[in-house]
Amino acid sequence: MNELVKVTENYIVTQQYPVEEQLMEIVEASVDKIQLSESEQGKVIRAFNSQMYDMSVEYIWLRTINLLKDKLSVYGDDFIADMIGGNYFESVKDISENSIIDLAADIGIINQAARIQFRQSSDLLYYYQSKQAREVDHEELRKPQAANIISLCVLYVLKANSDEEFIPYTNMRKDLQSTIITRESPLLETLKESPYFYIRTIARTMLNLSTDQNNPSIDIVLENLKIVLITVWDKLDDNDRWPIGIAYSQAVSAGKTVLTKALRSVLNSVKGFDYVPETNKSDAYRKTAKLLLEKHKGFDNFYNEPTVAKMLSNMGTTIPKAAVIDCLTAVLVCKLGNNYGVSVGAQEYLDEILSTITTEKWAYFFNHLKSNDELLYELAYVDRNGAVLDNWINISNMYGFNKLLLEEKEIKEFVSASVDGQRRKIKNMAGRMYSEMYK
Amino acid sequence: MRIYHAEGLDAIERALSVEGIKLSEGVKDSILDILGKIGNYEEEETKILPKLLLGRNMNNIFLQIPDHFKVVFGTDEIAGLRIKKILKSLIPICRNGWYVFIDINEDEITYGIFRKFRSPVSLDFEQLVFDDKESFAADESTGMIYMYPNNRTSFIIRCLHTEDIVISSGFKSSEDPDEKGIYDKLIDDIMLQIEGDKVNTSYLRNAMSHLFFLFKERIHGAIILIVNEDYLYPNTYLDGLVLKPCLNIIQIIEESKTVESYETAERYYALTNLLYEFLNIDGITIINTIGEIIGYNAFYRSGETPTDVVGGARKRTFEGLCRHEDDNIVGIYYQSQDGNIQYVRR
Repeated sequence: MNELVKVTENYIVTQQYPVEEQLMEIVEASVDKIQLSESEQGKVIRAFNSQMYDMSVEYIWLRTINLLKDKLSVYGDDFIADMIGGNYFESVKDISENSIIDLAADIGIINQAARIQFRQSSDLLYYYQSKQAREVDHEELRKPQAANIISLCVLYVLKANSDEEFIPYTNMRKDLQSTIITRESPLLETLKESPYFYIRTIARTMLNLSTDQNNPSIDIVLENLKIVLITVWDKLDDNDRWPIGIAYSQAVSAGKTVLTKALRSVLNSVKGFDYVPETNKSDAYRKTAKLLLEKHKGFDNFYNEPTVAKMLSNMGTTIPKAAVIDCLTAVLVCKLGNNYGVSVGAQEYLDEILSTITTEKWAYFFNHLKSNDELLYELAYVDRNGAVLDNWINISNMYGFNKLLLEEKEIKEFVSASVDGQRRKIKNMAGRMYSEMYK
Repeated sequence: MRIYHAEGLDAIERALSVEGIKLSEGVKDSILDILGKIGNYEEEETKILPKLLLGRNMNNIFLQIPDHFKVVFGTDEIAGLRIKKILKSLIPICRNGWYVFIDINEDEITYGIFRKFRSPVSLDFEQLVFDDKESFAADESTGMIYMYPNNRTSFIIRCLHTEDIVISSGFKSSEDPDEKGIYDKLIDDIMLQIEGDKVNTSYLRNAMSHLFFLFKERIHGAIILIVNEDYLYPNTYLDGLVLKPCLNIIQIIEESKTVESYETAERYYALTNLLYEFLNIDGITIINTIGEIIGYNAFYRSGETPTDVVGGARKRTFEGLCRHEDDNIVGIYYQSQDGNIQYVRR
């Protein structure tokens, strides 16, 4: 287990050790210190040199994911729940590997290149552990693949200076709880110029901090909540505005007068009451959709997806507007499948849900595609020998996406390519829109 | 010589003017007609407490209220030719939290009913709108007044952009009792022996406060005797129905925190409604300091009611309890049929 050293309330580092020469040879890079003990490094090196690549990689991969979990757990389970957007799990330990990777990237523990490569490595390892790989395809992890994954783990997470990129978020989170910021504050300027994913992370952070009744600096948090949310409102996409309206509705329902007033002041300033859901049903839809996505990203997804897909399908045929993007994203990502196929048992429920979607809702969904990292990632980086795109093209034609009234030229072009089956264009455009979120 | 209530009329006109609500003569007459009898409004001999919202661009306000439901029952020309007929059929709906709204827009009037759905502790429509007037201070596109009876002889007008007004037809200037102060004391005493963390206590107080603030609307007169745990009932001076097991208000509220099914939600509303039913039945309702309703429909045994008190049976019973020497009595709450409330703490 990594030895965590707590530096402040919000920031931890792990014990550092000198790097073994042989590990540097595998990684093909010079690294001074690493967050793996000599004995742990020895296990990785011995397994690798004995050509037990799977053992070597699994060991370092597990250490890496655990280290990410430990760093995320510093923020508390409520924060993780808010970031993931659901409340069906009790601790960071319950969330899928892919969600841990995404969250680590959203907070800035790893960068975007690492996010993509880690998610692909996660899929690859899952495949090599599967019965399909062992008994049907007779495939096993090869040396270059193993070296590549070990290298990723070391260079992006385990090496000593990897905490540096972690600091800006931690500091900003700390500042938002300790100092009342003003319109002239450099912190706001920095935030305005930040990539979309970071703005979204800070907005979610503020909502999370403001609902913590035990936070001793709640007065400062609420003041900052107002100025931060008002500042970033214009940059937030619809799907990230709804949580603010939902938080207001929940504060009213819980009788939290001060929080209600603060959120109301935000919604008043930005004329955002359209994002207050008519009923609190929409929150249940959003959470079930997030759970479906979480099951899709986790192990045994083929077996776990049908139950949640059925649950979502049974919730009713009219998905509230506040939940349309989350529900369609989860359903489409499950329809497209992962690198190893689709959950057969979930299909009938997913199709049932899709069959109830009106053209207005499809149009609404596509008009906000540019901030849909989940679907864009799926289309850009999950391939399955072209089967993911096959599914996408089928869905695009089946539901007549070319007839939708769309606002932006780029999205019209993307939809048109989807209906026409222009695979390369779909992939390139999805990849470009995905990258835009992180610039 | 005929004398009109000119000061009251001026106050209403001022409120309308500040809120930017322009009424035709017909609409104004109909509203004044209702206000003239708002404290004694009856339909088919049933007493009704009308709750009227009159405004312009009211959708802007309703939009800010989560979990609401609104039905439009009709529109009218700006002259308000149908207002009397429509209001006559809408006002009887003003029960269980429903409001009648009259939305005056540029070229038409919209009539309907509105309600906000609530959890045991959620902020209600009036708290959201009138307790946070700052939200509307800079908003000139919207205006609204809310009119409801205070008691038989006075009514209240709450405004978005100016202070609230109490209009009374009485001849003496009298201060209304501090309702919040009274209910706070009542809650303090009902929870006297309850220990809990700050968050839980705050939830309990909040939920209880919501229940008690509806007394004026839901109860047509009551006496609550608050007693400590050692109080024996029935006893030498009080006799009535005993609840076995006792109905514990605190427990009912605590259970409402985790609503697992429709049945749990229904249970909360059914059991809290039972409190209103007990209070509406003649006699004294007895609650102890751990939140248990231990009895209701309790009366003085013969010869115990004081004879030197001016007033009806309820008033005399209340005075009698106030005078009664019993160390186990903590406080006595009284609500007259007119809606006047009082709490005497021992």
